[in-house]
Amino acid sequence: MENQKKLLDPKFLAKISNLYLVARTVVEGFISGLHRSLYKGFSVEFFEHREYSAGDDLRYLDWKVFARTDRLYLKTFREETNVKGYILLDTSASMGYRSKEISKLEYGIFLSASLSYLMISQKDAVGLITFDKDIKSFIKPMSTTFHLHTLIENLKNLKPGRETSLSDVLNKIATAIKRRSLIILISDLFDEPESVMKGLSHFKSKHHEIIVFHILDPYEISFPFSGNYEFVDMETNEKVAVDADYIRDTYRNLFDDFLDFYRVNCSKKNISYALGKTDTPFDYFLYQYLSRRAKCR
Amino acid sequence: MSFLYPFYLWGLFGIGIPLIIHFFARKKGKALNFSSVRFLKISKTKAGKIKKIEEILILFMRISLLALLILILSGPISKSALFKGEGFFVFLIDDSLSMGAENSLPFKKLKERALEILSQIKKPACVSLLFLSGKYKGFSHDFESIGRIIKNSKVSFASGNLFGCIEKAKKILEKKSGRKVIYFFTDMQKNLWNFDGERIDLGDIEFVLIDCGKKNLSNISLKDIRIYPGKCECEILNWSCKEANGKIILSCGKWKKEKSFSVPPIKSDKIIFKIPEKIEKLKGEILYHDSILPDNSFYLSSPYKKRKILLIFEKPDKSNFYIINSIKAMEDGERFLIDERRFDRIDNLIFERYGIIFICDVGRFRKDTIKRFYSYVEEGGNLVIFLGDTIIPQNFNNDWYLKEKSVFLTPATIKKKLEFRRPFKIVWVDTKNPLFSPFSEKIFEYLRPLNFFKIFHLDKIYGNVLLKIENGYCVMVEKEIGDGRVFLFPFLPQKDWTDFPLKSFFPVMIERILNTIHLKTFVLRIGEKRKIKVPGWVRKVEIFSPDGKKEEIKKIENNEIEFSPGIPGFWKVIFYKKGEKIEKIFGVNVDWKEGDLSRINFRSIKNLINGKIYFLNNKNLVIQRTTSKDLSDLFLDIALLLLLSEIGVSNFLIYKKRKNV
Repeated sequence: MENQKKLLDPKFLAKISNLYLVARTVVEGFISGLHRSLYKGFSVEFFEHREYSAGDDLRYLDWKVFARTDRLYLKTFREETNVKGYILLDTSASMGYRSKEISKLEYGIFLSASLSYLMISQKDAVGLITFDKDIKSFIKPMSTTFHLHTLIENLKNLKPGRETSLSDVLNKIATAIKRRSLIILISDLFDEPESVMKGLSHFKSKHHEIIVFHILDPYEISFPFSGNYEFVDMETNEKVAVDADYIRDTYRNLFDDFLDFYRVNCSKKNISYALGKTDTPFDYFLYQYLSRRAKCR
Repeated sequence: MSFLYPFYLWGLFGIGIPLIIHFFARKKGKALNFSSVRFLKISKTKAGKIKKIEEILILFMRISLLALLILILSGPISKSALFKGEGFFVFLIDDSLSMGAENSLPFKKLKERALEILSQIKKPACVSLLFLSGKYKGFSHDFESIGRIIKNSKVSFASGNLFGCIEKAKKILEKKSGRKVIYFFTDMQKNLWNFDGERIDLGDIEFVLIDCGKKNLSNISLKDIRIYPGKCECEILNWSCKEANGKIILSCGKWKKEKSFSVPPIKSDKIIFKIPEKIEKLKGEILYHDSILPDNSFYLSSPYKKRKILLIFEKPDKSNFYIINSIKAMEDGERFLIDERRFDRIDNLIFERYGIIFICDVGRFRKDTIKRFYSYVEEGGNLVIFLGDTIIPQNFNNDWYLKEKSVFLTPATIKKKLEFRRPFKIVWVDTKNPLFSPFSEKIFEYLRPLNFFKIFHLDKIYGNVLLKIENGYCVMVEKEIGDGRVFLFPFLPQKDWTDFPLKSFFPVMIERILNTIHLKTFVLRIGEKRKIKVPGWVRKVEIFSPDGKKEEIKKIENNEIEFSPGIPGFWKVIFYKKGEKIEKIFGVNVDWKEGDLSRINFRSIKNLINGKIYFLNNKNLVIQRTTSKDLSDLFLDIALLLLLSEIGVSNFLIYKKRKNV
């Protein structure tokens, strides 16, 4: 378990230059520690029987075999590729912020790569949309291994861009995606929260399933600075000179309100919301994804 | 409120430092990229007000702390608290001569201030008056009569004994209980504070100094007048910082002479006058816009006009021959009348009639004769002793020691006799001594090797060595006793010294001794007490002061009267005998040091007096009623409180700021 944890630690992964390897390491490391029934339970085509063990879902018990042999067997199914997923990755300048080894964008890239790997290995089609103020790239979803390489190549070359205009971009994407899909938004959501929620609602109105991975740096949340600083906005270059000690509490309160807003509103609108710091292991997000995926079925 | 060290108040400008730091030298902080500043902007607006309040609070505390520390250093005093009206108050009034500077301006101010403070003191307080000149009035509630004494007081001509007066005031107050204060009204003249390295411990007595003086007063004094045959030397002292140009007038009856002078600042100068031969009294006066008037005059008298010399010897054919010939060889040798006496025939002689007594190789005197010699010298007589073969060291040392007075009449004791076979030269002369000062280095031209043959080796020397020979032996020692002097020569003059082919030194020296003694002048200073011997069979003694007042002295004890002149000028003392009138004139002068108007600073005074000292400077007194709490202590308490609060608040704020980091 210790080794697995280490494998999923973003700090460790940041040292691996091969993004494909990163994605594989994450997903396989995650899966090996995951309960079996969760992973194999999503398909509809019968695959094999296996003995029941405590904690398995009773829905998949084969009662006929039980009647015949007086033993409990579970039916397992081969998975289906009937879900189209879009990973929406925010590449705005603010995503380039890093307090330690890894920036939010790098974290987002690893996460996107891992999710892509996981989805394609489940035969789900996955596409990638990167954006800042506008859409930068749009890769349509496919489920082939070659497509995974395309996605990873694309992710590899990403760099922080300009300002964010999240609500506009979300509206544009929502208009562009016609078929019901799984939308995975990876962003720091630094825009007007109301307009962002409007953008997300637009997706919801089109019956898309949405997962929001809210990626933040630990320093953005805890604001551990002390003393006088002149903070420079990475998107607008605006400068604000403050005594960090004095504003810390107020800042934290404001930030908590900001996070609460997304948490509450996403919950209201049945949007899966996961807040993650750049030091959080990836399994948390993968679990979020999988539990959402289970709902999709 | 007033300050002991107002100079420190300049430090209040230091308050500007925290202000400058606060307003102009704010740390901008290092630039740091941050994802979004939108929350920071809002936080800054919200938290900024609290920060400002906290900063202003800390700034205020620091400024107050700094200001209070400076105020404490400046020594704040509440004037009104000093004059609060319960307890025992001694008004010590400086009526010394310097208070009369500039037409008694400081003394006028002193009176005003003393009366002003007196008016603040109410019953049941008691006030006592003590003047530096010695006048004293005990504790009294009658403030009106005290006020009257202050109003009518005048500047004395004396310099005053501050140390003695403070000690006296201390003694008076020590017996009292309650608040005890000495108010010293003074012009802050430095000379007053010469305590000879001693310190006064006042204990719980408060000492309030009230400065009534004035800075930078210009003044010159006539310090001294010295008479030499046919000439006179006047010493002028310029105390001010500017060059003093003026005139000096010498007068004696109708004779008058005037000379101009120019004395550089803080220096003295000597003006030389030619004067008539026979001068009995001499007055010098400086014409200059002097600050303290009496110190520009000098009165000189030479009461000893006797020309008689007594020569005491053991055998007539010895070295007294040399002394007689030396006197006769003098240019004006006829002026002197020599009375030669064998040592066993002096019982009936009145020594006081002789200007000088030579004792030449005389063995032993009776004790009562030695006592008579002592009183003769003390009264201004001069004794010259030559030691010869008949002297035995042990006897000599015992005979000339006066047990009752615990003093050796001779300036040295003798040890053993040494014999020399070769001539010796005098190699060292104390040219600073008035005896030899007119010669300066020229004196060595008179000197040639002499055969001393026998010299006594001196054991303990109590006086000044004037001459030394090649081998380091002292051949002339001098000592002052009372108004007179004793000279000791530990050898006998030789007969062959009287052949004067090159004019030997010793006749010259005898001439010098005679002239100096003949021209000896008497100078009395105001404040000095002088005992005057009354000649025998005197019925009445009268003292005439320079302003013409006459005082008859009836009380004559031990043939002595005590004389303490109060004003400068020529004082005349007349002794009335049966059908005879003996007159003595004394030139009385003020203490020349009083002319030095340089002022002492408060810090120096603090080194001389141990206790609670306060100082009120030259500005007007503002008297209000406040608490008696010492303001320094009060400020110190507040400063400590502020310091603690500052530390507490700062640390709390730092803790508050850092706790969530």
